[in-house]
Amino acid sequence: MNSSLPVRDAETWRRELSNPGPSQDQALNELRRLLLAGLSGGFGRHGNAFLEDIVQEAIVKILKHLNDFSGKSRFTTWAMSIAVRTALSELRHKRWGQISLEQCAEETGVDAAARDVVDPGADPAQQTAEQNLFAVLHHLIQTVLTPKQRVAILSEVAGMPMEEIAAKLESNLNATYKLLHDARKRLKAGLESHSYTR
Amino acid sequence: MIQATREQELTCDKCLGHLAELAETELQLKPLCQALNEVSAHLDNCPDCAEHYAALRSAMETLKE
Repeated sequence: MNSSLPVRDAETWRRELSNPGPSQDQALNELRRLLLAGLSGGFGRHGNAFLEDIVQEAIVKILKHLNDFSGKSRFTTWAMSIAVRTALSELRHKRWGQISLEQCAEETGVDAAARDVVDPGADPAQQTAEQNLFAVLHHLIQTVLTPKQRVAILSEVAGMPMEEIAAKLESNLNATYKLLHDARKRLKAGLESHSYTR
Repeated sequence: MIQATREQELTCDKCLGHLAELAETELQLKPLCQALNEVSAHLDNCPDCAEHYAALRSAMETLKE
């Protein structure tokens, strides 16, 4: 880590951040400085105001979840992971927040994906094989998935992040992952029943 | 993604809880334990968590510079 920062162990970070006073102020300043420095590499192009807002929001989350730190990594890596997640969530919401699942699934569903993936330059036999695969996949999506699974997996294929799908389903990340995992298992079994294996 | 689906998989919540540990372990070239192999497998099939992990690695490398 940056040699200009004092070396603190996890317990010191936790103790100082937990107790109001000059030590907490100093620890908060050092944490803010560290998070800003770390995020500046990958997220710097979004501007200083964005970075400042993200770090502020991340620090609120870090303080709220201090007792969740398990000690399996350094405290600063754990804190940085929270800041990275905060930044990515904000950017993903900006990108996808105004798009509904239905709109996303309809506009970039499996038919659109097939048009993009089937290589027009491939030999005719390969093109036919790819078109057949997409026809089977399209059929499976319509027949083996629930409506909720269908719209969620088509949105995922279109690139919508899982946390945005979860928010639009008014669900949480865990339940949405399970919904999508079950959908993928159904599609995988369906493809295998049509003799499509890896 | 469909063909890579396993019967049992980590959820994103569990994966995200291990990313700091995985980043440090990989950086220190320690052998991955079983739990982190599962995290690694999740990253292969989850673009969101893979993006998070890449950004975390980038942030840590920025701090090392």
